[in-house]
Amino acid sequence: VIIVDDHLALLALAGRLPDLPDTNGPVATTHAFQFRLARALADSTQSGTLSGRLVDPMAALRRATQPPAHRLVVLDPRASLGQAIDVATRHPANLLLAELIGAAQHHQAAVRLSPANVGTSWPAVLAAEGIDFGTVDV
Amino acid sequence: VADDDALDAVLADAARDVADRARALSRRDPDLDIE
Repeated sequence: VIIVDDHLALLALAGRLPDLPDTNGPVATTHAFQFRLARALADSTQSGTLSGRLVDPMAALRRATQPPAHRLVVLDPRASLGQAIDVATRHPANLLLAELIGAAQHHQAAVRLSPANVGTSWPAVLAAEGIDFGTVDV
Repeated sequence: VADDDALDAVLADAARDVADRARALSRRDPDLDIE
């Protein structure tokens, strides 16, 4: 399993995610990143980049809320809740980061993020938790 | 299939803008912000 952020998840949903070096397995994202993505898509179809460009704007939102499994898996946060809570007790991690690391530990997954989505403290926390982490510039 | 292909193209083209918007919307949300 390879866990990606919302930016890379959208490229995966569009079938345009480039090969991710040194990884294998299905591409997945967390529930928190899915929420961020779906909220931004909904906002964009109303007033942003996507407004007026789609015959059926809701199709873009459906792609994110009901992703085709061959393109993107959304990991059930309940499966890794215990690990996420452990992470949040060891580090100053919010829901987004704690769920990400907890899911990576639970699924023994690699984490690949776009550089703009790496918080200042994240590399150190990911390293301390032993996560296979890298950035992908797209 | 043609509609799906068109949606793929539009989503790929908009990916960076949508990602920027996701970050901006999450700045006011401590649970979902990257910082």
